[in-house]
Amino acid sequence: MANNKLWTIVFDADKCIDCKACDVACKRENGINANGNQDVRRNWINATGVVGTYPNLKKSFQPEQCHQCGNPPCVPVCPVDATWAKDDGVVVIDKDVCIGCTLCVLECPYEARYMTENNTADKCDFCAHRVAEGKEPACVDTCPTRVRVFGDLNDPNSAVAKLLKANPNAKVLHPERGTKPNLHYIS
Amino acid sequence: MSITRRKFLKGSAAGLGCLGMSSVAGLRYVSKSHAEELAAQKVKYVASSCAICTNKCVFRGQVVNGVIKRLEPQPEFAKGRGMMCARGNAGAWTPYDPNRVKYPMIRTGKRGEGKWKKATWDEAYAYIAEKTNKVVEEEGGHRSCIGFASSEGTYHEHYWNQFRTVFGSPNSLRHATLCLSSVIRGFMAVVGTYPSVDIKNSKYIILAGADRAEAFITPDTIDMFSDRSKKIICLDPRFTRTAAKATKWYPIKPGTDMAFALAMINVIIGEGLHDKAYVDKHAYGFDQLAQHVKQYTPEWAEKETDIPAQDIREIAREFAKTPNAVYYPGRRSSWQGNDVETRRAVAMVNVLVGSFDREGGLIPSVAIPTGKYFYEPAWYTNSRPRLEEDDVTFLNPRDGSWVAWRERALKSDPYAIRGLYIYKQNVVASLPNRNKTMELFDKMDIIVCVDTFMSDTAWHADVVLPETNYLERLDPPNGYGVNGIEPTLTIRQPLIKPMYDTRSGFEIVIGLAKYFEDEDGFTLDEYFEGDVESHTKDAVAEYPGALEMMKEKGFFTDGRTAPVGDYLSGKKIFNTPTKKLELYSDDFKGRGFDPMPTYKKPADIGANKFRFVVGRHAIHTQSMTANFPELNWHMPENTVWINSAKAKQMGIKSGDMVRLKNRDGAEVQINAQVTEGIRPDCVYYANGYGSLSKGQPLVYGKGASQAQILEAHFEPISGNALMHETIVEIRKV
Repeated sequence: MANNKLWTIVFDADKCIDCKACDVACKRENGINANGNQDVRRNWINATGVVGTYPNLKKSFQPEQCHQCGNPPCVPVCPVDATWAKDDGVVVIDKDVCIGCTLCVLECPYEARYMTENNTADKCDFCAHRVAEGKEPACVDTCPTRVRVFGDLNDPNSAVAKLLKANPNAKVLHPERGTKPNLHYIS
Repeated sequence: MSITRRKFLKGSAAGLGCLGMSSVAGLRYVSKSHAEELAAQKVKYVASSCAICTNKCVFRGQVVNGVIKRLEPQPEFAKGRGMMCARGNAGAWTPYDPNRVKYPMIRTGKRGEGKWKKATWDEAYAYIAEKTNKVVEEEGGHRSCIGFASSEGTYHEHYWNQFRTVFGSPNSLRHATLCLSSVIRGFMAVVGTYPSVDIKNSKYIILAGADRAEAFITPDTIDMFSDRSKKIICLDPRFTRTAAKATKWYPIKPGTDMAFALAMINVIIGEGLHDKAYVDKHAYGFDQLAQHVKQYTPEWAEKETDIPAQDIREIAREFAKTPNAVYYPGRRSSWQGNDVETRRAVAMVNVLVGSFDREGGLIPSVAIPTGKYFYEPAWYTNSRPRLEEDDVTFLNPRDGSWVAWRERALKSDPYAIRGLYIYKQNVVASLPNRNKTMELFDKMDIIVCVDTFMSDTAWHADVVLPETNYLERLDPPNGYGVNGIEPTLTIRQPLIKPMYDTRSGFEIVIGLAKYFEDEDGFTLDEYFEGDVESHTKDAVAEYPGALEMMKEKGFFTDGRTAPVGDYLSGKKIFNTPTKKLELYSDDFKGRGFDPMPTYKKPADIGANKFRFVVGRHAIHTQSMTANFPELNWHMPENTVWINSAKAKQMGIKSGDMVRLKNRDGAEVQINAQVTEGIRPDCVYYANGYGSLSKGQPLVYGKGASQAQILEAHFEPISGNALMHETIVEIRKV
C-alpha cells in the first residue's frame, strides 16, 4: 500500500512521575493477569534508582514498551513464522501459531517480550484493537502527565512527526543494535 | 440512559465494522477464531466516576459480554484532565474480588477469628437492633452510647449521617482528623477558607510535604508535572517522586517547616519584597508580624531546618519576585503539635506576596450547588454532647476528633460507648495506635461494619453488611471533592447488575431504620423519603439538561469557574473575624493561642532513635488498595526506608528483617530498604500492608501496618492526629 501508516510513540520522559497508570491500564485493556509474576508486563518504567549521595540526589523515570522495530530481531528467530511486522510497523504475534520456544523473548534487546501462562510469547502491540477503532493505545490515553504522544510518523502533520521535527535531538534506545525502533524519546 | 445506549449501539456498530476490515487486510494477524470471538462480543459503555480515592475521576466503563473490562478515562472531564491513574484502572477488579463481602454476615467465633454465618438482611438487622436496644436500655436510654464512623468517597455517606442524627447519637467520626483538619484550620484563620491552588498558572511552587507526584489531587498533580517549565521547591524528609521531579529538594528536619516559613517572611518583609499595595489594602496585623519575625533570620532557621540560610534567602527572594508563585497548602496530615500554627505561617507567606485570590495562587473554591435533601431531625429529651467536646477548640461536630474521642471512649469519660456503627471507614488500619483501637473494640457490645470488602475493620466486626460495589450502583450527583476552580458534579451509574446479595448505602440505612423507633414510637425509616433515583433527579432539577449530561458523560458542568479577584475587588468579603487577611489573629489570642505563629523547637528524639514519617504512593489509597492484584504487583510487600549511612553504622542491609518499637512499646517486623533517599533521623514505610484480615490475602501478614507503629497524639486546636510524633528504635532481628 502506498500510504502506509507508521505507528510511533514519542516520549517526553521528563514528565513521567512513575505512577504506574500505563502498566495497569495496559493489563486491564489487554486482559493480562500477571498473577504475581514480575516478568509479565507489556510496558514498564525504567527507574535509575536513587543516584548520588544524600542529600544531593537524582532519580529519573523512563517508560518503555515494545519498540515495534523497523528491523525487528525477534522476527527472523521465530521457527514457525508466528511473529511479523504489519504494514503499519506494529510487530504482532499469532498466539495460535506460537509454539512457546522463547527464542524471540531471548532475542529482544529491550526485553519487551515475555511468556504467558499459556506458554506463548506476548508483548505490546500498541493496542492494535483500539487503534483499529480510532483510539489511542491504553498507555497513552490513561497517562496523567501525557508522557506519550501516539501517531503516524508517515503523516508530516501528525503530532508525532511535528514533535520529532521540533526535537532534532530525540533519541532511540540501543541505536547500535540497528533495530530501527519506533519509540522516540525527546527527554 | 436511552441516549447513552443509542449512542453506544451506533458506536459499537462502527467499531465492529472497522474490526471486520482490519481482519481482512491483515488476515494473518487476527486468526479466524479470534475474529469470530471479537464479532460476537457485546460491548457497551457506561459513564460513571471512580471511588478509589477522593478525586472521583470520571470514566467510560467498557463492559464486554457483561463483564467490566476497562475503565477508560473520560477525556472531557476537565478536573481530571482526562486521565485515569493506576488505582482508577485497577478498580475494575473490585466487583470480581473473590473475597468481597457477598451477603450479610454475623460473627460466630471470636472477634477477628474469621468465623461467620451467612444471614439474610432481616436477620442481620434484627441482630443489630436487639444488641443495640439492649445497650441503649442499659445506658438509661442514652443513644449517645453508639459511636458512628463514616467516610466520604461513596456518595451515600449523608444517608448514614442522617441515620445517626435520627437515631440520636452526637458521636460522629469522619476521616478529617486523620487527614487535613489542621491545614483547613490554619488557612481558615488567615485567608478565611481552605482554597484551591491555580497550579495551571503557577510558575513557582513550594511543596512542603505535599507529595503531589504520589498523592494525587486533580488537577494539581497533572498540571504540576505535565508542564516542566514550573519551578518546584520540595521540602520533605524523604526523597519522594515529587522530590525527584522537583527543581530542588531539601530534606527538611521534621517539625521545622514553620521555621522555614517564618524565615521566608523575615526575608520578604526585611528586604521590602512583599506586595505593599496588596498587604496595605487587604491584610490585618502587618506591623505586628514584621516586628515578630525579626527574630527568625535565615541563619537561625538553618540550624532548625537543616536548609542553608543562603538557600532560604534566595528562595524567599525568588518567590516574592516571581509573579504567580504559591506556597502550596497541601492536604497531608498534621505533623506535629504546632501544625495549625505552621499552616498559618505558610498561608501568611502567600498573603505577603499577594497570592491569595490571584491567578496562579490560592483561589477560593466554588461549587455547583445541588438541590439539598432535607429531613426532619429527631428529638430526644436526654441527648448528651459528644464525648470529646471539651478537648478541641475548633471541633467540627460531624468530623469529631478521632484520637481524642477514642481516648475518652476507652475511659468511658464522661460516659460509656457501647457500640460502633462503621460505614466504610477502615478504622483498624487508619487510626494511629492499632492496639488502642483493638482495646476499644474489645469494650464494644456491638460493632456493625458496612463495606464492600473484608477490611481489617470488617474482619473485627460482629455484623458485616455488604454495600453494593461502586460499579454496580447508582449514586446521586456529588460535588464534594470535585469542587475547586473548575467545579463539576459527578454521578455513578451501574456498569453491571449487582453480583451478590448487596445493597446500596441508602438501602442499608432504610432497612436498618425500620428496626429502630424514636421517642414517640415512630420507626426511623419514616424520616427518610424517596430513593436514590428521585434524589438524583432532585439534586440537579434546577439545571436543564444536567441529568441527561451526567448520564451520558458521567459529569455535569455549566462551564463556571472560580472567579478570581472577587475578594480583592470587594465583591466578596473575606471570611475572617476582621474581614481582612489576618497576619495577626485577635481571635487566636482571645482563645489563649499565639496571635502569630511562634516557633517551638521539636523535642530532641535522642540518639539512635528515628522519627517515623508517613507518606503516600501513587499506586495506593491508604489501606484500601494494597490487596488489589494489579497494584499489589508493583509492591507485593512494604519495606522500611533507612538512610544508608545510618544503616551501615547499625549493620543493616537491604532485605534484613528489622524490628521497630515505638515509645508505647508497640512493635512491628519488616524488611529493611537501605536508601540514600531519607534523612538519617527518619524512617518510613508505605501504608496498607500488614493486614489482619484474611479477606485481604495478598497483604495478610505481609509487611507491616502503619496503624500498628504510629503513636496516637492529637493537636488541640483542630483535633487532628499527629502523624509525625512517633519515635522508634530499630534493631536487626
